[in-house]
Amino acid sequence: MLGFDAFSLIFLLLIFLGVFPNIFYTFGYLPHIKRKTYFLVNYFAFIISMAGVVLAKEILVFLFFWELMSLTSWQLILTENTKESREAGRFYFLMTHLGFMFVLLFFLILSPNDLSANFSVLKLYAQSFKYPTLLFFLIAIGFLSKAGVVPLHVWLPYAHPAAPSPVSALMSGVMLKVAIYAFLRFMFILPAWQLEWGIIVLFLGAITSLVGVLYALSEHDIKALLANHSVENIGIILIAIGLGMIFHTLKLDTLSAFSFIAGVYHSFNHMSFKSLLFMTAGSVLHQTHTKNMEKYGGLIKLMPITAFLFLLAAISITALPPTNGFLSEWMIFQSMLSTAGISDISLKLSFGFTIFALALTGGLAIACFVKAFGITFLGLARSENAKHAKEVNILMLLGQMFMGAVVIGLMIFMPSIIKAINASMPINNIYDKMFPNYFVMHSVAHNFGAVSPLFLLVALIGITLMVWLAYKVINPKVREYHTWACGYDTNAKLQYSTTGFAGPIRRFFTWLYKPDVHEHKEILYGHKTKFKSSMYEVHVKPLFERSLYDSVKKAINYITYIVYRASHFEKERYSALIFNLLIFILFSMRVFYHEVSWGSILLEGVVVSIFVSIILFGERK
Amino acid sequence: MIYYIIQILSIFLIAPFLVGIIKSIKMFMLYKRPISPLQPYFDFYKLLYKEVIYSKESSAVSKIAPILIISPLILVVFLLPPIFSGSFYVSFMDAFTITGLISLSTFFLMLLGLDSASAFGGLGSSREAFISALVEPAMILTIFSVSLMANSIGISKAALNLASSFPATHAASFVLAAISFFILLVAENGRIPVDNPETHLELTMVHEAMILDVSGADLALVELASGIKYAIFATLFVTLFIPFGTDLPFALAFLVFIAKLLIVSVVIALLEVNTAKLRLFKVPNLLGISIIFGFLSLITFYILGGVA
Repeated sequence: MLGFDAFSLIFLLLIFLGVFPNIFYTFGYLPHIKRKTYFLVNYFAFIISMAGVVLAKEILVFLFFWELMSLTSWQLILTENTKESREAGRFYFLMTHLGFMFVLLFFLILSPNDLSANFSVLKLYAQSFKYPTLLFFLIAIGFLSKAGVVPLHVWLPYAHPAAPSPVSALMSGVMLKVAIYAFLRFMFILPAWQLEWGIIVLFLGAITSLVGVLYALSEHDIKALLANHSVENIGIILIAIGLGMIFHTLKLDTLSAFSFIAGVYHSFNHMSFKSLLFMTAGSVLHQTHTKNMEKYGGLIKLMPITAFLFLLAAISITALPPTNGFLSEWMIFQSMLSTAGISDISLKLSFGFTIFALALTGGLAIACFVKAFGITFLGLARSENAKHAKEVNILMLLGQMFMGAVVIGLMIFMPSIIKAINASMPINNIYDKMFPNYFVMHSVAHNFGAVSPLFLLVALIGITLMVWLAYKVINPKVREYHTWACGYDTNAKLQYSTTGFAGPIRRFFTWLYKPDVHEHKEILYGHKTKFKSSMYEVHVKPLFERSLYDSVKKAINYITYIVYRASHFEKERYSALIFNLLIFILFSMRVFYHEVSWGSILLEGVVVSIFVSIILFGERK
Repeated sequence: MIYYIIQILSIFLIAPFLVGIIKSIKMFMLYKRPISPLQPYFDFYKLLYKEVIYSKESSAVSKIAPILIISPLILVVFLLPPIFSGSFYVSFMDAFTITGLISLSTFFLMLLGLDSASAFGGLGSSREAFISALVEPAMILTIFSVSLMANSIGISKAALNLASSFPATHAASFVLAAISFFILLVAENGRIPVDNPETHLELTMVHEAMILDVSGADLALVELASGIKYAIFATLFVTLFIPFGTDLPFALAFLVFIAKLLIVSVVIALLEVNTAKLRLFKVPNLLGISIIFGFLSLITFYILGGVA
């Protein structure tokens, strides 16, 4: 039933690293939750189900834990019984079961007679299966919809923020990785990978990362912002997996191994920093009672530890050196540079486009996290609640600090983690090639790419300390005074808001955002520039939701309306229908007996058209 | 090793001079009485011993950010390509690390802008975030293309390869990449037409807006950082895209390097005098050109049968 191999173990480690700090945080957060028993039962069932998915070795067991994972997380979204969470829960329930349908279909097609088959048996079935591409699509839709890939990601920015913060951290940090695990696990079962599969995954990854970061930038709800960044990072992981698949089909096994390792290592990193971000954002939410970033400000003075940990995670997620996020993104860039073994120019160029997408994502992510950190923690408080925030309780702090330690640990012990990941997957062993010694990581392509994480860290800290010492030696005289505000009082309203900060980018991408702008101004004495009060509000509804989901919703509504109309006639229409039918029978009888004359056809035609019009339009009033 | 140290020291020492010479050439061209090119050194010394005023609204970020802005850039100087083929260079860090470190410095600069609760700081940070988000893809594409031509992503090795065996068949891609990088040099260092380093007008300023509330020794550090950043980009440009002179004896190679840096600075100064600053929302067009040239460089490289 349950069993484990190296690949399960590596993801079990991921789950453990994500859950352990989270439990501390949850118990610190617990007084904030009204339905405690309900929450705790679901919380632990959720954790157990994730471990179960990773450890399952048979189809039914896997399906059971997969479904349990969906249901418990759905229940956890509904913990705080608000309108927002009910809607998010409904959307999540629908989408996750849409994915489940495809997963189920995959198993039913692959092993129709034996739903308790072991995965090793499943591999044999897959080898004799005639249409592996069908299986690929079933896996891709089934598991990647759970991971939040475009265009099946729309539920994610609603569902993750609606859950209590520790659960958001688990869902974004760990559950998405479980979906990635399942995707990889069953991809490795499939034989004869096609080049197109890899290209599809690469393309989806590139689009997902860009879409995620662009919508993150337009958010002013801090948890929705982070949830959109989860979409982005899943995209980055998929870019790495797609590259690995492409290299695998081209028989470039070393490069393929490098890309797969990059993908799984990025999963680890994303787990660490995204959990930390959700925890710290949850602490801020806990203190200020709002998710709206426009109401934050100046929290670094009141919550210094939380602020510092948020900064650590922000630097890591934006892939700035020397953090772990930078190292995994470095690996992904390196694998994209290795076009030497590819002869197809268009494929080579598609790598160029992916590099462009990934680099743009990186640049926008920096902008987004400057916004998130700067507006939340720096400057002056923008609301009363933000003025009276204080550092959260010790358990929550402990949870955050442990997660911070995981982030730093993933950076420092990177070679060991890479070694473990490499050993866990059915790929070439490239550890010795990547790390001739413990301190320098080399790219496996022949382009001399290298980075030394520890050296980078030590050098940065060393140089910073030296500059700081020099500064202390000079020891300039210090005075404190208010910020100059052009003669006005320095107050919170003078600061940039999140909306304003993202303004230039929103304006540049306005063709994508199509924002709803609400503007209101009370002008004084007809002067355009002098006003008593003014309000500016921007709301961005994601393009995919507007086009894909809303139109599907509309189409379903329309079809149900037609069915409803067809089944709820007035009596005039019923009688018209019966009458038409009667005439039709009589007519066919006369055709049958060859008693047709033009006159009767004309007469019957007129009568039928009258009754058809009654059916179509009802009785004329 | 001694050559390596001389190179690093000279880059640190010449950085303010390059900024100074651009300014003085510009003033000369505009019929003003030019300042001495050594003025940035005097400014640095003066600022170092002036009183530092911290805003009461600001936090610890304002106190540590100036140091964190300069330290990644100092590290980058150690990773730059050698100017002399016999000299030591760092082989275990590549181009991505350099771009990452430069972004790290910009990240703290943007935070510094948001810390003092002033409208100007936020304005500068917002604009800088916008520009640097678009600079990033162009930069990585150009580096990608150069690394293919030089057959190495390690930037020092790439520069030496280009100098020893210039890829003449790929001259077209090389020129396209060079143009793309030159635009980045202008954009990242806040020169006209992207940003005007001389004005303090809220309509136009980007870099100056972020550091409006920084004073004294902190300002000295931030100004020095922007000088070093310019020197880094100029060094990268001359070692990668004007790759000759590294095989000469060290003294000559050094002189050639300094001469190349001066030429680039003069070109920048002439460009600044002869163009108007772009509106912020026109800047993406310029950076778009840079991105497109990066792509074109890549495409020509592949079509002309580059194998790497």
